[in-house]
Amino acid sequence: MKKHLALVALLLVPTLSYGELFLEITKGSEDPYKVAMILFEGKTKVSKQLNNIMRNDLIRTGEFSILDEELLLPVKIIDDELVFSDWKLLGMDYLVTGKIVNANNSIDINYEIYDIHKKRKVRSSKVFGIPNQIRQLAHYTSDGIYESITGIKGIAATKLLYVNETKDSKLISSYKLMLADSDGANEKILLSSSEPIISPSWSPDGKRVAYVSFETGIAKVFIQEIASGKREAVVSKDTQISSPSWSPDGKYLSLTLYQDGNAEIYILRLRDRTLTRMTNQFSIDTESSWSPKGNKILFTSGRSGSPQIYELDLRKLNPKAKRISFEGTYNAKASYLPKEEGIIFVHRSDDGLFHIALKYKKENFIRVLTEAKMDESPSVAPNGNMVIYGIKEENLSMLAGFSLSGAKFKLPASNGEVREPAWSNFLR
Amino acid sequence: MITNHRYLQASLFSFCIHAALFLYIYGTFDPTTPQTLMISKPLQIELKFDLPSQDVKKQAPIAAKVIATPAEQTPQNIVYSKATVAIQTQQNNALIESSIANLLSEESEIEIDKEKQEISIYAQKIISTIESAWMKPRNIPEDLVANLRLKIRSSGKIIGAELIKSSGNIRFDNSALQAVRRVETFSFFNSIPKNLYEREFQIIAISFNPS
Repeated sequence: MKKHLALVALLLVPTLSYGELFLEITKGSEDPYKVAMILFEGKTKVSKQLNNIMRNDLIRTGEFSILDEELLLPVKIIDDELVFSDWKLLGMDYLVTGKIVNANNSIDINYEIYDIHKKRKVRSSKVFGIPNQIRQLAHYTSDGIYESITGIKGIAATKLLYVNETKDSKLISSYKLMLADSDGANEKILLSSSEPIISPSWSPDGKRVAYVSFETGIAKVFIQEIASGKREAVVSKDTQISSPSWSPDGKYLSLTLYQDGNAEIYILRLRDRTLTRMTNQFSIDTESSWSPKGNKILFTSGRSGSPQIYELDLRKLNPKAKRISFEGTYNAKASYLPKEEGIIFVHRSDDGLFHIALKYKKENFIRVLTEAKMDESPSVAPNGNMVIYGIKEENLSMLAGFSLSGAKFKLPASNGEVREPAWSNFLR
Repeated sequence: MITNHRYLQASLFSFCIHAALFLYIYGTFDPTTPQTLMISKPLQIELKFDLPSQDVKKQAPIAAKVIATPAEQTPQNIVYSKATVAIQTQQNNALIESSIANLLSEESEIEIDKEKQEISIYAQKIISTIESAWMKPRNIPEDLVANLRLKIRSSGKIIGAELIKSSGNIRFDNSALQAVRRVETFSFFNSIPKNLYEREFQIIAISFNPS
């Protein structure tokens, strides 16, 4: 078939694309960019720490393989042809070098990226930081490397929210809302409570979070400023409220309210706290999330007899929910990819297990992306290439992630159980 | 009944307009259209432009075919009637030239067949070289197509790769560019005859189309 295609292409030469020879490639397999990262010049301890963080950031994307440090050639000057060919013999695509510069109260990194095939420097850049924030500095640098090689914005410098549950000696639970770097390091506690906290959600500017807390005995949605810790309940009604999701312009929250006898989706305008009811159904409607442009919301509804994903077009006057999941008897907790080219959601497969799945808008089938037993609450990174979600291992909840290009990783377990991750927008 | 009546009226109007249009195209209203319209074949005129020369060899027969088909179906073509004056004076010349042209193009067709075979052999080599270097990304939508244009030296070294049609997915586009980067040099290029290289393989377009 392939040969036929090529011949067809040849015969069409005069009519297609400028009269030049036109060939068609139809096969390929998966392989990452091969990058050699030389330890940055500077204090060895700091340099090794930086290297380690950046290496993990890049490997986690699934699009990079980093040359083992032991194999690195001890070279510093690399503008000369001979050295480029050395790197080529090692099968490298890119080479990264750098220098740590200590000033009085700051620590800067100068780094360079060389394209081994083109035999030239493709990027020379500087990152500024402060000494006790080596991690942040490393994340910014690896995002720079990632972006200049792939053309896609990196997400190493973004943040995560999640809920941590610990039990004391009497098996009494306590809950914490946690903030951490995208690699799970650098944890901070945003809120501690003796009652459950669920469904954290980022404001688009990354300065505030919304979440559900049961501290008053029933589910209530709170908004909290990260910097100051200032917090307030958003709806004063005496009803259960859950699943907050921030609109991309930061002006609205979509919520689930239980005041009508069953769960219905509402949109709350934050400026004056007015609520608009979006669904009216005898069955449960919940887990809303906004489209990247803010003109649609996705939600889970039981109206067909089983949980399925529906889409609501907010530009219409009386929008009708459109069902968009059809495969299987359980599809829930959906969110859009950043270009709205598809959705990521929880899908129960025929074997009865719960997996994270992807469905592209233009395709009429789903792609199951994970293989554990109880995968839940996926959250998509702002560049759309990674997903973090909850898994169960030996009955303990923890966080795992994958990149669409095939990398898989687990976040280091902190004390106790961790669940309900939420990936921030690009920060800075 | 009223609707029916209006419908008939509309049909009549429509018929009249179409009939008028048809007659106009047929040349009924054109007083300058000579009676000899059908004598000379439009195919011959077009072939005048396509006398095989070095650089249009390949396109010649195809171009002639494409042009011949519509011209034969509608010989009363407006373009044609405008050109009539010129045709009448050149009619004889055109007839002679066209028979020479036919001979020449037959000959060149044989040559082209041979050449086509040669081109397809090298094209196949290019395709398989790139295919073995192309790593298709996972979990990308189906039906993605990216086109690249390559500039290649006679030594086979790729000296330029340009994305001329993005697939809309950066990871897919990157994988295509990366494949070309990995190939770097087509080792078999020195076996391509010089004139064939210059005409066909200096600049080529490649489509990455896994569907």
